Amino acid sequence: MARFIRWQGMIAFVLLSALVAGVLYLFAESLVKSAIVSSAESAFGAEVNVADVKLGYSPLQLSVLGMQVTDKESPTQNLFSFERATAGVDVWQYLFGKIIIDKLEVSQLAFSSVRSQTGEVFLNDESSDKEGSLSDQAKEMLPEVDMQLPDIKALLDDSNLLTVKASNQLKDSYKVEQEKLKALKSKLPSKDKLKSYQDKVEALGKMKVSSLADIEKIKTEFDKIKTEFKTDQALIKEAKQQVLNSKKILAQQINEVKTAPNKDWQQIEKTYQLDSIDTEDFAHILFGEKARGYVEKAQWLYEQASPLMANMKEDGTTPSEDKSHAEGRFIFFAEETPLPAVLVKKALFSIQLEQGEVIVTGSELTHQHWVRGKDSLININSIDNGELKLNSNFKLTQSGDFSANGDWLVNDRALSNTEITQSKALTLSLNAGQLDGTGSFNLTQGEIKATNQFSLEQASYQGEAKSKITKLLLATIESLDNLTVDVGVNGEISKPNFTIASSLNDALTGAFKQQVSGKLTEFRNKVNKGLNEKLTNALKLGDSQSAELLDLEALLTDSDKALDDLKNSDIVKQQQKKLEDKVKDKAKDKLKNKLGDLFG
Amino acid sequence: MLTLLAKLLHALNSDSSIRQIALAIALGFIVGLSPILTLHNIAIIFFVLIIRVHLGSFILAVGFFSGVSYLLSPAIVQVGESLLTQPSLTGFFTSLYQLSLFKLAHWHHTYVLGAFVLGVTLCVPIYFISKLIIEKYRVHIMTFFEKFRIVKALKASKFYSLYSSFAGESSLSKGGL
Repeated sequence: MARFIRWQGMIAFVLLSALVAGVLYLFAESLVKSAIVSSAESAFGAEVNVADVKLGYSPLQLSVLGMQVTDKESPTQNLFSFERATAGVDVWQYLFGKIIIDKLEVSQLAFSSVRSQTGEVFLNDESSDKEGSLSDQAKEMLPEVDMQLPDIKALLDDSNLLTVKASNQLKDSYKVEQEKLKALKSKLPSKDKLKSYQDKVEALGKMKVSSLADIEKIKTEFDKIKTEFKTDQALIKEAKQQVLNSKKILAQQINEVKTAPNKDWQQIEKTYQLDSIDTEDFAHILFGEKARGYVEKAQWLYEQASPLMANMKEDGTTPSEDKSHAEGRFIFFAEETPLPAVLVKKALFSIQLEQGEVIVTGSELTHQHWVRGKDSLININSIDNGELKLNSNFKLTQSGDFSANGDWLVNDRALSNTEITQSKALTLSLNAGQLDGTGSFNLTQGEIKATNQFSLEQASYQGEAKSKITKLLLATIESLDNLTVDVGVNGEISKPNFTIASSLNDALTGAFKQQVSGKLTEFRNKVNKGLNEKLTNALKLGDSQSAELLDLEALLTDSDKALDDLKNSDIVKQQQKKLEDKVKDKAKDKLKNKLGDLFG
Repeated sequence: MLTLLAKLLHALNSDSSIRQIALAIALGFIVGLSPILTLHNIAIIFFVLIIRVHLGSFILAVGFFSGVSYLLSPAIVQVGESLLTQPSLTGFFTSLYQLSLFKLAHWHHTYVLGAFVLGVTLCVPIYFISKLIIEKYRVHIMTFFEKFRIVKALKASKFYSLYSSFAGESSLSKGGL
């Protein structure tokens, strides 16, 4: 046996184990500290400082003291910092590969606190190149709305106006049609020519007929004249058709001229956004800025949390991608009392805000809610300044769908020195006020649906307005005893739609709309008057053109009728009848003479 | 490190049992392939300490195969992944998972299980291959290398004096390096 076993190896093993345990015990805190710093720096992309780490072994408890995480967007500030975080870890589960924290307490958590030294930034996020924030864009809207109304004379001289264009087109068309008619007129038979036709036909009617040969001669002559008629009549018909076409074209263009001023006004309204000046826009501009700010914060939280949850999910449910060095993952199987890979059973955060201390409690905080079938719960409470409550729950399904629900309540919260808006045209801040509000939200598959009602009472404001409109706006807000704002947020979380209704709208409707509408009506009347003058001038031209055409048409009709009369003249028949009567008279005379001779 | 290398060379050249050196390399292979502080590694280390295997060879083998493990990690993880996610083995692993010892050993971790399975499977051929190589070394390679001037030069170096202190007079008289 001794040939194979060396009993002193047992002592070596004990010594070795003691050595490892001793080293771990001595350096555990330093190792944990460096692990926290390096993993946090990798996650947040900026310098992370941890003052100290303490480990308690019975039960296993980890305390992180004085942690500061630099805000990579603003390295002179911390993204967040806290005085102390204590986590009681379930050792047995930790040895099984799970992080189960029975209780997590974070005290004096603060956001955006100033750092004593500028923090180092390791990663530059692409978002720094983004366009201005939504709130900046909202601020820029105020001077735009305050824009001066356009100069009426310049507006009416604008050659792009439809009224001007249609009038010019009418003039041009008239010229073209007139040229065409002139050309036709020159070819038309003159009055003298028509007279000569009449004379010729009359002469044929007066011709003495004594034989059939005379009738034949009259017929031949009349046919000759008719041939001449036909050519002229065709010209007259062509002219009549041309007149009809011209009338049609001009009538259409006159119609266009008549409708042009109305179209022009619509275009002016659209171009200068006169139709969009509405009191609701001011509610959007004033309060939408704040609402967007809060939603941006929620989006930021969501964007930060989503990838973290997705990454954590990889540890438990999806295989890691192929890479040069793989670390593997735990695969958990069904058990009697299943536990997620990471779980904080209870959490307590004490957050220091300007408005006072806020207590956040959480339970069942995990990324694998399906394991225990429980949602994570987060409650926020503050009683330092009135009452603030938020209850929410969220869960992530095994297929990766994130959903959250919640409601909030604010009672008698005193606000002071709160900026509402700051732009070139208007600066407005709330000196003091009493805020009440309720709201609820639902986030399912990236779609948010939230309703929020705020009511501000006993408010006093301070502000400066530079234009007539903003002065009126400022005066109206200052005169309000109770200001209510209802904010609805709907749609995709990345680009939500806001609906904002406020009692400000009603208050403004009377005063503001009266002034703005008065100014707008005056402007509209002046512009319409100018457009109508243009219309009248154009229609005058149209009327004279129409009269001219009507005269020409009458002339052509008369000429055509005269030629028709001549063409249909029964001159040959008349002469034929005359000849027949003559022959009959002669025959009668002859018969009388013979009967006279006979009966004597 | 030099001391350790000298010990290994001494073991190879001395009368130390070929089987003891080969077993040390095979066990070092299992330990080196897995993350060091796992339950089965601790058990193997205990085993190595109490049975007569060559410790120097074991420590060097652990170091060498830890490097190999780093390079082969994707394949190791793949082995563990395919075993743990094999539907036909789910029942088997589920019943094992109910044992605390299984979870404590982290055999439900793809890297640990992959390394353990590969280590246990390949340690037998590694044992025999090592044994064969050491035998060949002692018979042919050692005498072949002794002819070189560089080896003669090495004999005059500090390293050789260190080696000699482990080998003692007897080994020198038996041929030494």
